[in-house]
Amino acid sequence: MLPLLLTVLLAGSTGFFLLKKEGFGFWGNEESKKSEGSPIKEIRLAILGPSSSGKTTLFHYLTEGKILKNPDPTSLTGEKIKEKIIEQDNKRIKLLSTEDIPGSESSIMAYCENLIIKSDFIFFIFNCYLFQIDEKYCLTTKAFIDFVFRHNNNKRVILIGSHVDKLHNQQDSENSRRKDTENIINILLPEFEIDKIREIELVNLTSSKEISNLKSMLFK
Amino acid sequence: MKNTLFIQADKWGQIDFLFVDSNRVLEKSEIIKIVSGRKLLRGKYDFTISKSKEIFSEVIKKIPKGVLIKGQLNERDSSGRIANFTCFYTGKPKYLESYLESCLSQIGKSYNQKSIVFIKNSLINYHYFQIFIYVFSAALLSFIILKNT
Repeated sequence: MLPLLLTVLLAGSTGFFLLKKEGFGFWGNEESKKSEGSPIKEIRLAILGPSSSGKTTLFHYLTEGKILKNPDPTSLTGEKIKEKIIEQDNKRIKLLSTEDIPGSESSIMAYCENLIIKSDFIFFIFNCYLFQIDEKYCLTTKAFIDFVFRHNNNKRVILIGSHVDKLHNQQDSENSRRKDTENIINILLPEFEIDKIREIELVNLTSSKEISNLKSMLFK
Repeated sequence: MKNTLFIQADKWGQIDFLFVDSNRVLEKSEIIKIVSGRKLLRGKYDFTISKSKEIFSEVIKKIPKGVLIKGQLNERDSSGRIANFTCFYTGKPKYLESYLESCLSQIGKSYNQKSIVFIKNSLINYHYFQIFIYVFSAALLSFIILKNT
């Protein structure tokens, strides 16, 4: 009786440890780590911004090359972005594994600082339409931008105003785009130095041409 | 460990919905503190979920002392996106629905039935799989020991 009891206990504990182990079977996250021959530039990218600004869309484009239509909100825990080599005009860079974090206020407060410290390139994306018409959105976004600048330690931060299509509908032109950029810079200027907010782009993330321009910034 | 349910606020700048067991946490600083709790185990365990290839898919991930679940709600956020919930669940699969109901009813939201069926089935399958592994390991070890005695 005793050997049988011991056997069951031993088997049970073996099974227990096997199943508790992270990455077991179909629950796991297996990250492919393909080694490449020639050394290429490595970037750990952070895409930050308020909820529903286009962070997931941009990540998906950079890693998969496709524009997502109506992605679901990112879960609280963040979603893993696997290491990926991306190419443009015969140039290659390695995007190191990072996280797509949700834009909710509490997750920003919880995870953002760590992500900024780990990253060496930051896209800060916000809805430029709401930024101009919704005062609360504008204030909270400015507070968020300030948070990024206070923690970024002179890393490159590019501000991206998304949803620009909502500003102009069909009558989008170079001039109106420039005007809106100036308008946004003017809203930001009282609180931020011009040097910090110099790199700002207004884009329509559903346009493959415009989103690919953002991708090319990684190669500069 | 307690069950935790998180739902992102409908609009940027509003307070997020967080439940610890079935009690809603209303204090902003407390929400941030609980959400930051994820950091405690970071490095040792990876709590992030792999991004799904589908536009929406439910995700269930085994983590120490429970499962991490991402499921869908029937409501949409201010941008028109289908809202979802993230839940750290430690209970039995059969009580998942009642747990979610007890929380969501407090904020006038409801879970998507299809999403829950998928999650529950995955949890039950995992439960049976666990039992199978235990029994198989026990039988194998018994066989080895009895054969050698």
